[in-house]
Amino acid sequence: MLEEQPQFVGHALTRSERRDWRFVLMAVGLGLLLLGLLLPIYGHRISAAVTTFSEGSEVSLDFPTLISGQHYAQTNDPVNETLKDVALTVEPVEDHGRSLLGWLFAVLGSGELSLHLGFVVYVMTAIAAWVVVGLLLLSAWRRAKGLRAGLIPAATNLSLLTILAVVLSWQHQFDYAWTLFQKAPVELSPGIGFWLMLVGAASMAVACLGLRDETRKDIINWWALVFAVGLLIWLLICFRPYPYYEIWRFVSDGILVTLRIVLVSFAFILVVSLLGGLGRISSNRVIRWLASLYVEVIRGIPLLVQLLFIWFALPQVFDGIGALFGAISPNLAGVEEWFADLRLDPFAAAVLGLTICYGAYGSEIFRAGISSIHHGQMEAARSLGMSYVQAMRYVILPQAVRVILPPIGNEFVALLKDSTLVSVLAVSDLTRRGREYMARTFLSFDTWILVALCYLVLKLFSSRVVESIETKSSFK
Amino acid sequence: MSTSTPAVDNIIEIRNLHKTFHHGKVVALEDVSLDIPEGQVTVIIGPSGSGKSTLLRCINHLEVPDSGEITVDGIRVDAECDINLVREEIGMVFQQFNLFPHLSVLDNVTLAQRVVRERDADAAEGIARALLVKVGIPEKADVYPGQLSGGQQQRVAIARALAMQPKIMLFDEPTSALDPEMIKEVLDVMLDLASEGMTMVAVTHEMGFARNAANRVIFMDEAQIVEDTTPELLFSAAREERTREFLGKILH
Repeated sequence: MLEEQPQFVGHALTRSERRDWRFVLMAVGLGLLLLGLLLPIYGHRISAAVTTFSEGSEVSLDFPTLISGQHYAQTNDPVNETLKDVALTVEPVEDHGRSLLGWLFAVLGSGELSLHLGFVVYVMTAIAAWVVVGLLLLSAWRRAKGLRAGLIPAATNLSLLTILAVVLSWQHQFDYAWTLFQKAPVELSPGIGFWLMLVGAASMAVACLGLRDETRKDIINWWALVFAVGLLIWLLICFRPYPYYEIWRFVSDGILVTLRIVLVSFAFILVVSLLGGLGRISSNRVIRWLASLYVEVIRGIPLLVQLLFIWFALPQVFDGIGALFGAISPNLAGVEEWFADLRLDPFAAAVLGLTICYGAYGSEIFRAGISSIHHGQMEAARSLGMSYVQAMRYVILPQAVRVILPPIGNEFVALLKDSTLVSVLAVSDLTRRGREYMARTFLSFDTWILVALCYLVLKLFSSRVVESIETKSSFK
Repeated sequence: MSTSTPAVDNIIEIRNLHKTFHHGKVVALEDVSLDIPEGQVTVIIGPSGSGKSTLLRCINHLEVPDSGEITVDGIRVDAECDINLVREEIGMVFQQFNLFPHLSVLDNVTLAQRVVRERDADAAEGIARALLVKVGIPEKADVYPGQLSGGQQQRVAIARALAMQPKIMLFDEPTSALDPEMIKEVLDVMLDLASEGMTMVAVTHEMGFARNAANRVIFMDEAQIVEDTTPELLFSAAREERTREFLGKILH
């Protein structure tokens, strides 16, 4: 047989091609999924539970929005006691739409986002699948270049995941505990929206899998690894709630702190790197010298030492500067006080430390990237009357970005991992939360395996994002 | 040569220009003085390393001379002047084209118009498309420089410089990087421009262009102007022995 050519790529689709069964199925799936998102899915919810144990211990929980922590309460028996019974209060839901979207807004409005993060992820997965498959279908119908084949792997994976997400979102309703479901099987049975979503997602998945020949890429690509690790964490939490659910509840706010530190630092790092890189190639000798000094000195000192210096020694430096002002003139006592009061909070110290350190490495990346653009480009831009800044902005940097992106993306991933070092400051990042939990419970293996998996999934995720940005911005 | 009374009709005036490279080890220009009246087409020839490109690049301050004066359109070109204002009036075409590879042909021609001349997008595009017609490649407006032949790239580069509506055009060996079959298409555009009365200074060894379009030919050697003459006299009766020797090498 001849080599198979993509059927729908590279040309506007004809009328009969647009009516291909795969696109029809995709459209049907999209319609059903949307309908399912809007129609009632769970009419009742568990609003409270009283768990009793054999020796008379009682754990009573109220759930203002969605159930949470009940599975853990059941599994985590008090010492020398066994689970006796659980009494549920099941209420019909009236205050919101009973649809998955209604639940999403209820959760987002409840202020309990961190407890129901999983639920939000399920709904978001379904929405993301809808959007991506929608774009794919739109490209088939409208686009002059035909099908956007690059979307097929994402559409396939997301459709398949949506099936899983819909099922898990139902299980979330009884905290993944079958004993609870059996207490109120009628009320907790899923509604029409649930089944529509399942059929919709399955149709989309089948349609996308049918388009396999349109793409040279693997359908199950490296994104699957990200999801696999994420799923592993989730399974640990769901099915071994003790201790993983407890660890998760303890360390999950650390993930947000880690992400915040990394993202805020990275924004500053980009600015410092740009300035440092430009400084390194400046024609002004003093600026060039200062930038080189910064890069060489900072790259020569371990990040941990820099962080410790900023946290422990910088206050003394501030005091010293203040005392200097005080010594110059008694009128400057205000300045002296201001410096004496100047203290960085842990978060600011962490961001400052990471920015200074990674800015030095980034400066070298920017310098190399900008230098790699032929000097004729700058001359051509300047000869047209552009200023240095305009030439950089419109001519040099847009070209340099393509050179800079891959290494700076790697820096981001490295930053994510090095951010663990800020746990030596009083920053409650993921690592520090893990240490705190371990100090309390001595569950070293379980704590660190979960923390490691969390870092792994963050790292894999950001690597994939970096990779796809690189592919998009590479030269034709 | 008088240095005291600048003639009004000289659009470029160069006085006693000195330029060295590598901390004085290489002398590129040694006491070069030159007046170029408006509308004149000047061709500069000479062996490599004779300073002709450096002289050209000093005119729009891409090279900073060690000493001497340059006046362009009445403005002294030095560290104090607003060099960007001067450069707006001087178009330059490079040997290696130096098109912006990340921009389409149209954007290459409109970028400086929008950023420097602050024209709105429609006006800039109108001018750009008219110039692409003029250089003979209107159909290439939306492709990227990497998809063009050398000759086409150089014509885009000329259109890009012309889009600023400069008073002077500088050509730095515009055909040296081209395959032989593409030289003519670029020279045709340059001839066109010369016939419209544009002030042009071209470093080139295209003697056909010198003969057909130039009012004046300058021969440089060892950082100095050796001979300053007309094309007719250059080919029939060059004054200096060095000029005749050089011509003997390049004309066969």
